[in-house]
Amino acid sequence: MQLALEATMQSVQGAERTGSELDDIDALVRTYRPRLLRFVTFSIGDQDMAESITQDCFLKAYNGRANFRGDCSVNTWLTSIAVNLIRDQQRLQKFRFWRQARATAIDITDAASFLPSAECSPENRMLVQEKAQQVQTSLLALSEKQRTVFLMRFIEEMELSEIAAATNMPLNTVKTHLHRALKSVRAQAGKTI
Amino acid sequence: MTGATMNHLTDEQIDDALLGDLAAEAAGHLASCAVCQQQLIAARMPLESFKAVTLAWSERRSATMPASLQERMLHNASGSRRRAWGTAAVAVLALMVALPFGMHHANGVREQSSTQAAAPIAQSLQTEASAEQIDSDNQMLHEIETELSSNRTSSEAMELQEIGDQGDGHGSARMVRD
Repeated sequence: MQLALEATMQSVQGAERTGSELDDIDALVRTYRPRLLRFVTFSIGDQDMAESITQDCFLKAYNGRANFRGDCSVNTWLTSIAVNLIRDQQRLQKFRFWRQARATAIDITDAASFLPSAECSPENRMLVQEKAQQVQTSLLALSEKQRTVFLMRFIEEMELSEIAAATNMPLNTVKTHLHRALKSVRAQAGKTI
Repeated sequence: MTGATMNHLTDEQIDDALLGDLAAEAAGHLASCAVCQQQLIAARMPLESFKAVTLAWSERRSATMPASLQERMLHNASGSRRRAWGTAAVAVLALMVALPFGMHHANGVREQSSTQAAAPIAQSLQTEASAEQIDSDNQMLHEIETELSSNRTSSEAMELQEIGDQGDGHGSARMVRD
């Protein structure tokens, strides 16, 4: 009984904490924008549209912050909103996806030079960059669902149950998509994974 | 079969480990097998690289994002409240304009009726004036067009005549015009 009460109190406190976090849109954007932008960008392959969707996502989160129950992290909640916005855009066919967007492919080649130098020697940095590009290229071969769950798991580090909830897919379907995605990435990345 | 005696993890099991969905028995083997641990580290490396590089990319892109975009986001967020204030301001303004007009209406119905009578006349005069202007403009355009076409006919005739005078008739004239 005591344990249940403590759990409820913790849940309420967590919701209050994240609730106040959501009230400050400036801090919200500052804290979560890079991760959210990354997720959206590598989900759709269009940098400009990704910025627009990310912006919409923050506005939607801010306007609907009263609906946040605090049963998942703010990042997971924002990612779920982003998934829905991406899906809406896909339905409306307002923008081009990976195959068409190859001409304006996202260039992450310079990004490796911004990695913390303490972690990376020049040789390691080159290796990291090479591997990252291999994975990026391999995303092209994935279906939309495979790409979404792959990014959620390996970029956003979401739990399988969280991915299932965010995508409205059964857990086993999520696992199947993830296995196929991983297999494809492994094949594309030259069996190095 | 214990962890020590079990065969090394298959590709499928490495995938399971990456997904965080490895069966207990395989997890037991992994905990005690340096070869499989190394294999898992190698499998995880490209994914970790992608994660680190894309985050660096995204942070840089966010840092170079125009400040106006963030301002716009904040602006949009408070937009509905501002719109409500705007609507209220318009309503007050409309009331301020309508109130004296209403008082004027109550005090001077006769004056208003004369104004009402004068308005269609002014309007019709304006309409007539604009109709006359249009007729005049049309007539002028017609005259210009007629004059231009007559000039064109005469110049064409002259040109043909000049070419005809120079040599071999229609063929040359057509070439020059082309």
